[in-house]
Amino acid sequence: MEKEELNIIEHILDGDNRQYAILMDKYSQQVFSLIFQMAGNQEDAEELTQDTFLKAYQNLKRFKGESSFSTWIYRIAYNTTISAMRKKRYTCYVDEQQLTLLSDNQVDALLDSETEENCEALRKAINQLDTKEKALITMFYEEEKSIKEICEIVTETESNIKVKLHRIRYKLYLLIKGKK
Amino acid sequence: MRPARDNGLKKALKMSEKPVLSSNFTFKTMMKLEEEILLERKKREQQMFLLTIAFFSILTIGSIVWLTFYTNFHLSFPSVNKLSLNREDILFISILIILLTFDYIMRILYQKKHS
Repeated sequence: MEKEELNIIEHILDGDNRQYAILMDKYSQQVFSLIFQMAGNQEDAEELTQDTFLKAYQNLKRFKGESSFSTWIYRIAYNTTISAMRKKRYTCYVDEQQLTLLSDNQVDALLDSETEENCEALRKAINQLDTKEKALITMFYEEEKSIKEICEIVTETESNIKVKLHRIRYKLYLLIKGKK
Repeated sequence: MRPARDNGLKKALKMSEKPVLSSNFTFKTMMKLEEEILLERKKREQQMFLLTIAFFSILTIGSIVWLTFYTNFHLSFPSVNKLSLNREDILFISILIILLTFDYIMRILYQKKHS
């Protein structure tokens, strides 16, 4: 936790609301990117980003500084988006049995291939994942957050996150292969 | 997990659309925040007002009940020349004045703090 951020938060809690704009300027684009990946459309993402920052402000007293402000705001963004997306849920299910039949080598080879065609297929497959899955792969692969940090954001155990990431990789494989 | 692998997946994620947040986002959100703060303040003032009304209503009713059942006071208005205040009445009126003054001071302090 940066000392400067703690100072800003203290000032906000003392009634200097304008200081909140500094935190917003610093984190809004990152939060928006995650929400956009999860929600899939710009208008919803912008509205949810605003909701996230309003909720964060209302709960700022509860922020104890145990985690970084970035992790804390990501957790609020994640939960806000999950709740909002629950109403318009669209999930692409894959056969659980098929997952067990796959080998690591097959999946590794496909997800490692950087050919234009493969990347395009992967991009389309990512769009078919559900909100939580999109959030996990965005945080892990794109933002390169550590498993520990992801655990703090989504409030799940490390082993759970590892299993979920493993399953997402297999699911992506099946989504691509199913289309071919 | 092996973060060094899955290069295709990383590339695919980088390829996906990357929209930029509107330039006036902070301004819009700060405006909304101010609105929310104002609404919250009004709500609290309303609650304070209702609480004060409820408190004084209970105090008045309680005082009337106490005066009626535990003293020989009757709710008949005495004629002006017969009007005499006993110790309890003076105590009641004094408390009422003190509480009203206290309420008035607290309101001024609250408004000063939040203006």
